This record gives sequence, C-alpha cells and structure tokens, in this order.
Amino acid sequence: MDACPQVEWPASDWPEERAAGSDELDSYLFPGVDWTDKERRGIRTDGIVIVRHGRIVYERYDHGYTATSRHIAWSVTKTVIGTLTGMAVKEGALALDQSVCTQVHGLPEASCAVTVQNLLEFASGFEWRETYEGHSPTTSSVLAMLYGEGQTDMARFVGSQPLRDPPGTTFMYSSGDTMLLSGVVRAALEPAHGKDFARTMLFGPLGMTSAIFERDGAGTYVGASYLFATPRDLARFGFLWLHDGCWNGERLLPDGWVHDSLRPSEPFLAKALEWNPGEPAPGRQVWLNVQTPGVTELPWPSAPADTFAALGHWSQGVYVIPSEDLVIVRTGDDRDHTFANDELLRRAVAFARSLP
Amino acid sequence: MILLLLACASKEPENYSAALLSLATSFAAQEGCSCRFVMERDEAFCKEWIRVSPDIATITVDEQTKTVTSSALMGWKRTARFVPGEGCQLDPK
Repeated sequence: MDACPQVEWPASDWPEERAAGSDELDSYLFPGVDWTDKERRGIRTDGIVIVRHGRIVYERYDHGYTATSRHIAWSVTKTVIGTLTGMAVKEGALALDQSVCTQVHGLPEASCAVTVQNLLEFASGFEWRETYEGHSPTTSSVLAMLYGEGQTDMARFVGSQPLRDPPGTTFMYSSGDTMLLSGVVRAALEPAHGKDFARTMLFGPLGMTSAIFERDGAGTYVGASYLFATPRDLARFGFLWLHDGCWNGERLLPDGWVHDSLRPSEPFLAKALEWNPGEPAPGRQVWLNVQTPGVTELPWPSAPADTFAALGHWSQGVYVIPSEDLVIVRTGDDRDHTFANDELLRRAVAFARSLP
Repeated sequence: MILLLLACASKEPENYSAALLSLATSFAAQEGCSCRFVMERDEAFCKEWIRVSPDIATITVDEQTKTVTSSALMGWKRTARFVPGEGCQLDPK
C-alpha cells in the first residue's frame, strides 16, 4: 500500500500565513457588483479561501458571508458522494462492478445492468434531462427529482427511469446518476456506520464541523446538491484529495482511488452527450483539466494540467492543483456566465507563485 | 360567473400548470428554509436568493417552528422544516 504523504495536517483550524494581499484576485473576484441589482449581473463572489502548503494565504468574503457561514455547495456535493463511494469500496462494503440492484431494491429489471462504476462515470444510460433556469421547468428531470415526484425517494426515482443507452457506453452529466449512487452508498455504509455515516466517516475525521448534508424524503443524502459547509471546511475536503485521499497520515480512500478518479472515463472517451468541446473532462464525479479528443487546448489553459475540481451551480468550486500544492475554494452567487474558472486559476496560481 | 372561471381556466398559460406551481412552491420552501436556517441568512436575503423565473412563489418564515412555507396561485402551498444538524426537508404533501 502506498504510504500517505508526510505533511502538516490542519488541526481544528487552518494555520494562516498571510504575507500579502492580491490586487489581481481582488479585482477579478470582487469587482464591486451592486448586490441589489435585480438582474444579478456579473461576478458575484461571496467567499474565497486559498490554501498553499497547508496554510491559508488568501481569504475574503462578501455579501454578508463570513468565515463561519455555511454556503450551499450545489454540485460540489457530487465529489463528496464520489469520495464516500471510495470509502465504501475501501472497507469492502461496495465493489465497482456491483449492480445497483444489490443495494437499492425493487428497481425495474433493466436498471440492474447499471453498476457502481457506471454511476461514478455518469454513464448509467438512464433517460435524463439535466436542465435548470432558462428551460421549461416542467421538462427537467433534475427539478422533478428535487422538487417533484422524485422528492420522496430520489434514488428510486432515478433508478426507475428507462434506459436511453446501454449502461457504461455513453457519458452524460446527470444529477440523477449521483443521486442513485448516494442511495447505493447509503445502503452499503449505513448498516455499519449508522444514518450519519457521512459525518462519522468523512466530515468528522476531516474536522468539517460546519457540514450539514440534507436528505430527501426517504432519508437519503441529497448527494447531487445539498451539502452546506464553510469555504474553510470545503478546503479540508480539497486537502484530502490533494493528498491522495489521506488525512492525518491515515488513508481514507483506497490505494489508487484518486489516481483512477482523475482520468477521463472510458464511456466519456467513447461517446459524450450534452458535453461541449472545451469543457473540463469528467473523471469519477470530478472535473479534469486534461486534453480531450479533438481539442488542442486544455479546458483551463492558464492552469497546470494536473488541476482538477469539484464544481457547482452558480459557480461554486473546490480546485486542487497538486503541482502547486494548492487548494482553492470559491463560493458565489453567479446568475450569468461571466465568471471563468480559467481566469480565477490563472490569477490564483500567479499569486501563489509570487509568495515567498 | 362559472363561464368566466372556465374562460380563465382555459386561458391559463402553460407557465401556471399545476406541475409548475407544485415545483415552484417546493423549490421555494426547500431553498428558503435552507437559506434561512442552514446558511443562517436573514429573510430579506433569502427571498431574493430564491427568486427564479418565473417568479410565482412567495415564502413566509416562521422563526418559532423553524419552518418556511411557500405559497403560489390557486392555493398551492408547501412547507419545509429545519432540524438542527440535519438541515431542511419538505413536509410530506
């Protein structure tokens, strides 16, 4: 088994080392938007934490948020479900090639061809419409799951959809896949760890004391979108991934899990639906700055090629850059598409490199 | 009068279908509750935070019971309830 890296792990709070501010970061992230603007235009950062060499080197909040405010993580939550999946695999409670039907009972026969790995890779093949604002709400599968007929038991709702493609053949980003995975992981871990398994296994050990993980009507974590935590605590989650799934010198994720999660999946390389060239590539519930077929530039050309991220609606992000020993957490309330991940990463890396 | 109601009903835009009103009230109750009691922002902030298009659901915060009730046209209502450590959940319909 690979040894865990020897680093200084954060105790109950992050060590800080703030030698310098950054006009470059300030001017991009906090351009002085009018928070009363009814159109909610522009880059509306409300929290940023940058951790370099295990220390907070830059931190700022806006719009009434503080270092102790929980923020909705939206789809950053998906990477947390990917992590809990890895933890379940590590203790032998789950296998990648296992059918979803071994954990979630009473699904249609056709759904039993879907495996844990298919869900991790957004390749279940379930019929799904991942649409939010700007589309007709009543045709969205996500909204039906979160606020409509799916709400009482979201995992079962997803697992009951008809298949559009054979499982494992086609990538399509789907909150449904993560939500069914959340149900599978719950069934695997709850017997040994109790209903608060995310807290006892992950948030507790990492010291993410602010974390609140909301549940659906069946008591399953809403793993697609409803984790709430402070940016400082989300940085702990990034730090876990920065260090190969280790915390305090102890391996929480299986050997090789992080490595295997940071490769574009086979289904994605074979056939990607609803994915545009230039977007980051999907790994296992995580987004990668790797070259994709037919595109010469990296998705985030200004950032190192080993950059990866958990990303969420309204521009939430937990970015990890191992080659720079950096974790960046950005929370926001962006309602248009002005904010660019690449621009944040460019300025954050330049800032980090300018530090002693 | 009945004819008038029928006329109104038949002219009811697709936007205001029962399905949409149901989604809108559930969304507003859930997110409004999480905003107020999990993110611990004030009511005015949360009303703006949950505003989406079409803007058809309003919320009322009950600080005593830690619930948020959303209402929309035609008597649609939904309540979400906060439990410490757990966050918010919609009440069963």
